[in-house]
Amino acid sequence: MTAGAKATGRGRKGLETSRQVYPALKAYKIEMEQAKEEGKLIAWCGGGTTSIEILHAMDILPQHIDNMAAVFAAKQLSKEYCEAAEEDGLPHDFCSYYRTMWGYVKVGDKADPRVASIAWPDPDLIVGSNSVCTTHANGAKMLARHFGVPVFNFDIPTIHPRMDVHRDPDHRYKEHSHIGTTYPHELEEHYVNYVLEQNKRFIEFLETVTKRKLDVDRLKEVVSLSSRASQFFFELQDLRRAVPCPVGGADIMSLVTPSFIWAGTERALRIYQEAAAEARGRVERGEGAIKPEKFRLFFESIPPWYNLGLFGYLEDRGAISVIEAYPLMFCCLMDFEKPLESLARKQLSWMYNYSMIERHDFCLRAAETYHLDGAINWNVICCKIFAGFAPLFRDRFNDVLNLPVLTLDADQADPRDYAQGQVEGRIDAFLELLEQRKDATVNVGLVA
Amino acid sequence: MPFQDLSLIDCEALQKDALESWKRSGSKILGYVCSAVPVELIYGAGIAPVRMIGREIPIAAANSKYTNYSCYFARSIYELADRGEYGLLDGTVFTYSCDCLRGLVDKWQYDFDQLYFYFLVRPQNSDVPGALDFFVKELHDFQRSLEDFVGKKMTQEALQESIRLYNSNRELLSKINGARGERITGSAALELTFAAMLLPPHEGNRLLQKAWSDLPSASLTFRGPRLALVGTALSNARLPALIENCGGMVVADDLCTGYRAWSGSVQPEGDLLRNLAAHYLHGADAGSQCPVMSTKGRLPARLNSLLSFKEQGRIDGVVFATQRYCDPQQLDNQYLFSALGDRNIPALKLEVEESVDASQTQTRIEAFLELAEQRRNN
Repeated sequence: MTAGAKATGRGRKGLETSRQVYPALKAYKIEMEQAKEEGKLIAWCGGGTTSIEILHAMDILPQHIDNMAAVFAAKQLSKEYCEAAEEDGLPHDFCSYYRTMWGYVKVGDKADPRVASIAWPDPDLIVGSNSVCTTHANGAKMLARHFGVPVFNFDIPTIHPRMDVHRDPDHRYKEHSHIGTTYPHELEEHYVNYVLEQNKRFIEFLETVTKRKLDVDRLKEVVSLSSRASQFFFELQDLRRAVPCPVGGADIMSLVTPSFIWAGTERALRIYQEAAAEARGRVERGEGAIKPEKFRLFFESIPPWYNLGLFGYLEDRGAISVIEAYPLMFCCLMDFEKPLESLARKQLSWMYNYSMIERHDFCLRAAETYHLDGAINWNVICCKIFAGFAPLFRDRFNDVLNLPVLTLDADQADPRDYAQGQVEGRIDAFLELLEQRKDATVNVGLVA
Repeated sequence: MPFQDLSLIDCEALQKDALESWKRSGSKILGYVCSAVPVELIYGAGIAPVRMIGREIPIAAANSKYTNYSCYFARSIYELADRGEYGLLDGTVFTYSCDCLRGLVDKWQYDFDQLYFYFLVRPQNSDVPGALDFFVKELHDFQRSLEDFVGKKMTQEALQESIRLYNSNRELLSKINGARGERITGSAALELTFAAMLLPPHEGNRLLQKAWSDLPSASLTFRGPRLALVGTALSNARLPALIENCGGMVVADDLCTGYRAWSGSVQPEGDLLRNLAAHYLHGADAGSQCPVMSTKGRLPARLNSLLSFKEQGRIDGVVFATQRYCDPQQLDNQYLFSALGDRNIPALKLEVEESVDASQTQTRIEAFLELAEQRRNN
């Protein structure tokens, strides 16, 4: 696609709770600034799940690098910072989250003074992990070198396919409800121990940095809060199976933020509790997020944060995203009595840590239980992980379920690779195809 | 002709003959992509490991069936498989080499029927306590899987023999590559390195031994700018050959398909799996660890290695040959390029896709060589 991006549309959120997320994020920015003045520490985190519950338990305020870049994009500020990073040597095809953040740390508000209203305080420490991609682990080190702050990197091993459930013909893909959550993988002991020991080292690292001891009871409390919040988030996702669907994709993409940065806090618990209650009420009343609901879609991958209005475009045409894999990955049900083991399991169970075939089983299962008509596959061109997954997603949807998939190539944070007219044109054509398929089904039904 | 001319060596024909003969003996062949795969275990099971490094071919199927947002290296491997050019292989062994190849692994499993597939999990941070123990456990599983595949237990002696064979393979490559700029060109040395990886190890050793004995013994020191080639994987030696055509020479490298694959040796005594795990986890040379590794101090060690080459007068500059879409190497480049610039060491960044575009790249290389020569003379 060519350049020609324009300031694209904001996400249209149906839930009152979703609309509270951004104000809460702004409030958190102020809290972080105040905390910094009081001598509290700020941690920038990158890469899947980085045991932010331990940070909260030690009164360190976390911020997620992906979330920062996503907010820059949503506020239409990422373009300037991606360009700044490219001027500094990072190529255009490099991860746009890191291009955005690298551009920001290099030029600050010189690129755009509006950034002051959304930028978070500089980090006192950085936490990285390779659980989603290798860029995060070494990107975290790059940022740590820039700021001259200590860095801790988790090494999360990919789950070996011998632990894949799909290989067991008795399980197949219908067995488990949530990958990365209540996923019934029997993780081998040395996997759990390997990560558990790293969590112990993480605590030692933090104790050295803060010169304070971790209060284990406080950690248990935080893990419990994180798990309870996850439970409500999963309930919210389960409720979306209802026809009509009570909550659309833009809401969920906003609601993913608490699990990114506030897992283990009352704030996340409250938000997810309220969101689930709102959705529950809607289901009980038979209310859908849109009316009429013509097409139910699976939205795969990281959305274009600079244009969450994309979901509104779909909804205006009777199509709603009823399930997305990406937001599910940051939540996990945990046993607070075993906080470190639980956190290790959470890090290992991260959806993108499994074989793609295994994680795709989740998508196939969702297609049945969420009554899908098709899927949109946002092929993030700078993300080697999602771009690598996209063809398999398309093929298995087609081959196993005979469901159509629309693959759209564009970026997650860099709007220069987005062509609004082209994307909308392809969506229109895709919805026409879905309409024809529905008509064909009805006609066949009548003949029969 | 002071340097050996390898244009007469047809690697593909050699490989075809060697593999067909191996198959006729009733033995199996497995393909692997990454230099982090312990080939000694595969050969110890009586299977010939053959590296898949792709080839300079037009990409069509890989773009539509796999992805076009991945490096050429990965896509060309998929393309060759789609064309059926890996037909002699009985299966493949992958590891989490990088994010691009991670995507290839799963699509590969889904798209290609094969008798054997194994995904080896290797920690990506070698100084995490427990990383070595973890990797040893994974190697045990890999060994069991290979034994199941061939229906035979691997003996300690067979593994020992395999380790010794690969050690001599590395030793020969070390000698040949160490003679770059004196008895062999950088491109010819890289061609031989590729050939050694494309052949079963006993055949590879035979070729290397012959090449080594055929090298001119007199020292014919190259006088032009001497360079280190830094990157990840290259599928061919066109870039070093182009550098030679422009008057320079690659005399050192830090590539997955070069130095990283042949440096060091594995201890052939004691706990062999542990020895293999240590070699493939820590890397034989801390100054050349794979850029996906987040091991503490890895990147400064990579820089120090280049600096020491410069201090010893072995190189006049550094060329970065980076596959497009290779985020791990790009992150390293960001640090290395600027650190070399701070020390006034000439460095050139080139992006590699199918290969290098000679017409565009030649002018840049010529200008760079001129600069490197000037700096050396000043």
